[in-house]
Amino acid sequence: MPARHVLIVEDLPDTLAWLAAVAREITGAEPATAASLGAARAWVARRPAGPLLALVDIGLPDGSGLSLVAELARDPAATAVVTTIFDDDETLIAAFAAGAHGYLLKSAGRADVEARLRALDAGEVAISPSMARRLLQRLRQPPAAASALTPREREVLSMIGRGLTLGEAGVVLGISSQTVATHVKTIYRKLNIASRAEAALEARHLGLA
Amino acid sequence: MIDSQALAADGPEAGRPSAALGVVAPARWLGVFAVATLLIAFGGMVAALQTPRIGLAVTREGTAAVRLTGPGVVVRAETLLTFRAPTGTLTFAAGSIADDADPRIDHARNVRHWQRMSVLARMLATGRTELRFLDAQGRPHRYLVPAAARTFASLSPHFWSAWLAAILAGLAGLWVWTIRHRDWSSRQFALMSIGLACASLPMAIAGETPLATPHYRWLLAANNIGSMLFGAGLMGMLTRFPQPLLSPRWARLGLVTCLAFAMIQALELVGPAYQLTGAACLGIFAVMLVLLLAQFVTAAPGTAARRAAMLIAASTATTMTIVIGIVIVPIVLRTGQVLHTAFAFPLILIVHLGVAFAVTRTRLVTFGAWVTTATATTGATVLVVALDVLLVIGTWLVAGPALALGAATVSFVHIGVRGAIRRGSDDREKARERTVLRRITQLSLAIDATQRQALWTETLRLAFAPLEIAPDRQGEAARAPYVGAEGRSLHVPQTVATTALVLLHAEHGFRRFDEGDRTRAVELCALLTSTAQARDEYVRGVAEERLRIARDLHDDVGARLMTSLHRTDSTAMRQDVREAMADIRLIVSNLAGTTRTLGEVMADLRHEAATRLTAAGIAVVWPASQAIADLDDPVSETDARHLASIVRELVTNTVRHTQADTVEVTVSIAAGHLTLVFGDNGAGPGDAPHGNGLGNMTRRCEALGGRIEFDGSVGFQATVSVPRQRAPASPDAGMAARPAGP
Repeated sequence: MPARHVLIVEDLPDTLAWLAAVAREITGAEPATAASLGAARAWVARRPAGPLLALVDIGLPDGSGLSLVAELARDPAATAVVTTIFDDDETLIAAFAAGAHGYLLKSAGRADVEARLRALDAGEVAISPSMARRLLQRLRQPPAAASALTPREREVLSMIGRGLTLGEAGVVLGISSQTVATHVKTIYRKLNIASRAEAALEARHLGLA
Repeated sequence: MIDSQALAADGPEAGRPSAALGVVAPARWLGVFAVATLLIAFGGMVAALQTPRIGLAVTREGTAAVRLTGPGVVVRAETLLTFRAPTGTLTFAAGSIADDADPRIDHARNVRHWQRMSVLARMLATGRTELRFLDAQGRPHRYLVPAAARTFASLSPHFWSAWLAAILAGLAGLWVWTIRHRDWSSRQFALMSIGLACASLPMAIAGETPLATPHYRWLLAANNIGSMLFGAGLMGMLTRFPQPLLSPRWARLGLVTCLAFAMIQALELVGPAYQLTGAACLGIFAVMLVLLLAQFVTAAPGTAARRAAMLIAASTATTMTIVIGIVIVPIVLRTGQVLHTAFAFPLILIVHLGVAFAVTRTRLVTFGAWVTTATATTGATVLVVALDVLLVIGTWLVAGPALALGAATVSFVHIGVRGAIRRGSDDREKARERTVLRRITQLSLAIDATQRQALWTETLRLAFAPLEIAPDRQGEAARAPYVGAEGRSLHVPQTVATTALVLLHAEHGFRRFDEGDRTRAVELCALLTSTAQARDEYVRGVAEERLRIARDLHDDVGARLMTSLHRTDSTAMRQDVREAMADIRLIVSNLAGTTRTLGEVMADLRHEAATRLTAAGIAVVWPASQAIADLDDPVSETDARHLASIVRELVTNTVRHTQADTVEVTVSIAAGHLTLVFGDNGAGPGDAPHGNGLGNMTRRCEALGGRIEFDGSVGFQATVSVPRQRAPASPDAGMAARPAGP
């Protein structure tokens, strides 16, 4: 695992301790912890230089973790991973739209968490057929030109929507599974752009910006 | 395949009012056009009425003699006729006006003829024209030509037929144009119709006094323009209908050329104008034949295009025959007319409408539903306006301006005011209706019985305004509302929500209850019953949903937590808790409410199974066919969960208990069943699922209305077969099939 700082934002103390232990074992360094959105923001404001991996819980007592994820998304040295109890499509789409790089199930075993983090580092990306279908719908009429899908990306999404795994989609399209994963990451980035554009439009509508 | 571009090009746009006509509604355009057409036609009638009715006709009798109807004498063709009137004198040979006024090849002769007609018309209009001539025996005759004012009744049948043909043709064309302004063929059709109207109306006017039609030259010019428009429209249509042969540029060129010819003829810019027109007609005819042939040839036999081409060919041929037979042949053969020219137009109109029929049959013009409404509304409006105009004119003609003014005042002012008053009371009616509907909706949602009763009473009071409403003792057995006591009472039976009531004395005692009230009461009761039933179904649905969630929590989550409670091994306990959380995840995701199609469910299952198997290092052979992915039967979340559980169980079994390295899955659809064959190449025979697994899968299959078979002979194989369409399972079916307790 590359050397970097780790921040864990989690309000349940036992879960926080467990995640910290896992992070310590994997990275070999002591992770920073925060039990609320405010504390996390305070830490990020004066964080040390260097790459950052943040495991952010969505349900925090003083706000949604997704706003921290959105702030971190603008920082190219930060990788935000959302930790969640349920991996339903709504939550995940919201997480990716906010700019998360991946997600972790809090109920997963230690081995699974480690495997997921390694996979994230290796460039893998999580997507399911129902997510693919939703993404196709969501990005059909993009609010910003930068978030329009290319025909290749549409192909990838429709194949995943049909149930193919990333590797199989790569085989059909004649590209490697890494390329497929890169496409999916680009799609998530476009989702992020789209959701930021929508938020900006909304703010203009309400006369806030 | 989700394809965002796959929208039918014609879908929601077909039949919609043309945006090209701008902000004004097409119905209004229709009205404007209709009124304009009627006004022009009216103008034509007025023009026809201006022509004097003269008591003199000159017809050929054999080759050398001419009959003068009026004096009732037959004279030689060379006999000179002298007309003397206060305005002047006119002399010419009898034979020269015996023929039809239609133009001849000799242009100079035509001009002379027309000028003569105009002069004659002016003379006859004075009413004091005297005709002098010498008969065959050389005796002088003097005949005072009577010229009466033309009245309505004296307009001849051929005027009416040509006039009506003009109106109908004009209206048909404008109607089609309003509806499909953008469509090529309908534009050409509109052009043809307007051309026909243009050609027909002048001839209607001119036909009344063949001897002395004033301004005949201009009427003929209008007729020519009309004919040219008709020809241009027909050619234009044939360039692109039934199949596009040429670009629209050619049709426009054709139109411009035809109009140029018509203009040249009208303004007599070139000497032998009539020859030019004749040549133009022949040219149009030739082009039409060529295009028709081309359409016929390029259309494949048996297609709609060929049928349309044949219909148009038939109708064109008929039109040409009519025109030639009625108009041209008599001229050429110098016989009298077989049928008055003006009668030709209705025949042409019939043929023209035949083209319209051909064209609509082959879906040339697709109408949206709004067209019928717009046409009916416009038609009604136009009828009303026409009636008013007729009323005014009629009274004017009969009794002079005073009565006409009176009729107009009655028609417009008085009736208008009355209408406004009626509308005011209508609005009040409508407001009452709206309140009645609102009360009934509130009623159906009200839970409390007294509240329901109160709302129902209020509704009935609003609807009927009775003097009294009381509980109905005697009518309790009744099923439907009825009127009793000679109209003094209306009995409303009890409904699902309310008790029986009796209403006394309708409309604050002003009238009795009648059949209309009874029908109204029936409608209100029916409305109440249906909304109450809808509410009950909704409540039942909510209850069923709660029951399902409770059942799922009990069976899945409760069972797992129970298992975990007494585990000694904390790792195994954690695993159980994880699986319980997975179950809760499923239950929560079901509540999201989006219904998936069968194709989507299979895709999700495939992805999940393939991911898990690949993560365990097992190769997956599961062809993902488009046919399966395209299945669009909606699947209830319960069924989807059962199916998912079965597949999950199979995958878990393969991952944990077998040493297989390949899994093959085949999904197929046959005879209304979905069949899934799951097989692995496990180490030994008989690797059946352990523990509750087998029972669970069988149970779930049964809940889906299907069955599952296991085959442990070579590796492990399970065949799941479930029907695609099935009746919704009753909420208790699962409970009954379940073994008691975990």
